Amino acid sequence: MANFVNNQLSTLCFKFSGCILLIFSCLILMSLSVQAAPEVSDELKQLRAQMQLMMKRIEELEKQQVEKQAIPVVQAPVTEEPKKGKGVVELMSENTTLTVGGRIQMNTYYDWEESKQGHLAYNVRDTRFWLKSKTKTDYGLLSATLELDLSGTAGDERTSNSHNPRLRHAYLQLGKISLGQTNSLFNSIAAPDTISAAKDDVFVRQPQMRWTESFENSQFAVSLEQPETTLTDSTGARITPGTDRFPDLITRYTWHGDWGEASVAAMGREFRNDGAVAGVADEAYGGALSLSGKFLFFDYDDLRYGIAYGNGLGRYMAGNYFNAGSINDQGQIHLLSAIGGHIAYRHWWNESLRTSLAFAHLQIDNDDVVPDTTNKLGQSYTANLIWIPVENGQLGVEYYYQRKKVQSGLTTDSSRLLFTAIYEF
Amino acid sequence: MKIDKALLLLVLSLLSTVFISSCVSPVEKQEACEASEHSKKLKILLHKLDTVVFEPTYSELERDAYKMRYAGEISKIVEAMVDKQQDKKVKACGISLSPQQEKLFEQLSAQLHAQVQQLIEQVKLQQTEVIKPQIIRINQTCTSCHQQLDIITP
Repeated sequence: MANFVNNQLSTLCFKFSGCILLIFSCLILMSLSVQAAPEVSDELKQLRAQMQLMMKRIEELEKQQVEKQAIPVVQAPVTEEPKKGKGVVELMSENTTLTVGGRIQMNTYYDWEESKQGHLAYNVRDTRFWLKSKTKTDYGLLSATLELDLSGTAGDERTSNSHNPRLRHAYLQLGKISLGQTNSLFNSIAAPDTISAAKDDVFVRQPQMRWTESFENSQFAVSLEQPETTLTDSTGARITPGTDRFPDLITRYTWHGDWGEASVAAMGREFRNDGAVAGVADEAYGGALSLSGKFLFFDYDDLRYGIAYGNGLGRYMAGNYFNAGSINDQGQIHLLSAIGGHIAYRHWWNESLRTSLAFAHLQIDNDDVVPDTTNKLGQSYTANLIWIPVENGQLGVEYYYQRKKVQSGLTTDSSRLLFTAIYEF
Repeated sequence: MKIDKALLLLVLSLLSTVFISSCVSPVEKQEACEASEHSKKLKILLHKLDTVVFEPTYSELERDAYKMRYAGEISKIVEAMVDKQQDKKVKACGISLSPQQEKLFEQLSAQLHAQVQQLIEQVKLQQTEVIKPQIIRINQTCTSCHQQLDIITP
C-alpha cells in the first residue's frame, strides 16, 4: 500500500515538473520574440502566480511523501495479558490452559530374606508425566488429566532398561461430575507417608463415573466403578471370569477441620462366574466398609489410620493380596471376610525433615476350598527419614519389614532397605 | 476372627510415641497479638500446601482438591487480617505509626486486600497453577510492610 502511494506521488511530481518546464520555456520564448505589451505583462503576472501555486503544491506533496515514509510499522495491540503461573502454557484455542508436569523418581533398594542372599536393584519406574487442561465452558470449568508412569512392561536390565509407559489417570471433570480412570473412591484418604506402600494398602485405580457434592467442612461422593471378580479355585489359581454385569457401587463421606480429617466409605459389589469353572453360572453379592483419616498434632505432625472390613474387599486391598472369595470345583462362589488396617505417626523434625513410623496388618478367613498355599495374613512395619532439600524435591531412606503367612501356617519374613530421590516438576 | 497380638502392641507403641512427642514438642504456645496467631496458622497452611505433592497415593485430582482447600483457608485468614487491620490499624500489636507511615500502611493494606480478593477468585475458578505465585505475592506484600514499618514478624 505504502509503495503504491509512493509511486503515485512520484508520477504526479514528474508530471508537475514537466508542466513547469514547458511553461517556463514558453515564457522565455515569449519574452524574446514579443515586445512587452501591457496586456502581455498581465498574462505573465498571472502565469507567475500560477507557477508559484504549482511550486507550493509540489512542495506540499513532497512533504507528505517524506512524512509517509517516516511512519513506523504499527505493532498489533496486545489485547490480553498472557496467563502466568508455574508450568502453564497458553494454547491457541480459546479459553484453554494446558499445564504440564510430572515427577522424576529413582528408587534403590536392597531386599533380603532369612534364608536367601540379598538383592540390590535400581529403577526409575515410578517416574511420571502428566498433562492437564482447563477449559471454560457454558457448564463450568472442564478439566482433563492424562498421567502416565514407567511401570508398564519391565525393560531389559542388561542393556537399556527401557521400561514401558503405563496409564495411571485419564479423566474429565466438569463441576460435580468426574468421568474416566483415576483413584477409586474406596481408597484410604490417609495412607502412611512411606515410600513403600503399607501392607494393607486400600488402593485401586480404575475407570469410574463419580458425583461429588462439597459442603463447608465435608464432602459427599458416590461412584460407579469398573467391576472385576477375583476368586481362588481349589488349586490356588486366581480366577477372573470377566462376566461382571453391574458396576461396583461406592459412596464416601469425608469431614475435615482444624483437628484433621475422617472419612467413611461403603462399597457394594456383585461377583459372578458365568461358566468359567465347571460350566456352571453362579453369583454372589458382597460389600465392605472402611474408615480412614488423620488427627493433627503439634501443628505439623499427624496420626494416620485406616481400617477396612468386609466380604467384598478382595482386589481393593493390598494389591489383591487376597481374592474376594473362593470358587469350588462345582463352580460355586463363596465370599471370604477380610480385615486390614494401618496406623502411622508422622513427625516433622523441622520444616524439611520428617519421619514416619507405620504398622499395617491384614488377614482373611479362608475356607476349605482354597489350598494351604493361599495367603492368610500379612503385616508390615516401616520407619523412614525423608529430607526436602529443595522445593518439590525430596530424598528419603526407609526400612521396611514384612511378614507373610499362608493357610498352612508357614510364615516368611523379609526386609527391604530403600533409598529414594524424587523431584516434582 | 482372631486379631494378631502384634497389631495391639504396635497401636500401643504408636500411641505412646504420640504422648512422648507431646511432652517434648519444641513448639511453644504463644499468647501474642492476633497477627502472630494468624501468622502461625498461615505458616502451617503454606507448609501443607508445599508438601501435599509428597503425599504418596494422591492423584492430581486429589492434590488439586487439597491445594484448593488450603488456599481457601489461607485467603480467609489473610482477608480476616486485612479487615482487622483496617479497623484497628496495627495498634493491636502495640505499634504507633507516624502519619507518613500510616499512609504507607494504608497503601500496602489496600494492595494486600486486592491480592487476597484475586486469590479468592482464583480458588473459585480452580486455577491451581496460579495459586502459589499469588500466595508468594501476598507474602511479599506482608514482608514489605513489616520491613518498612519495622514490625517484628511474630
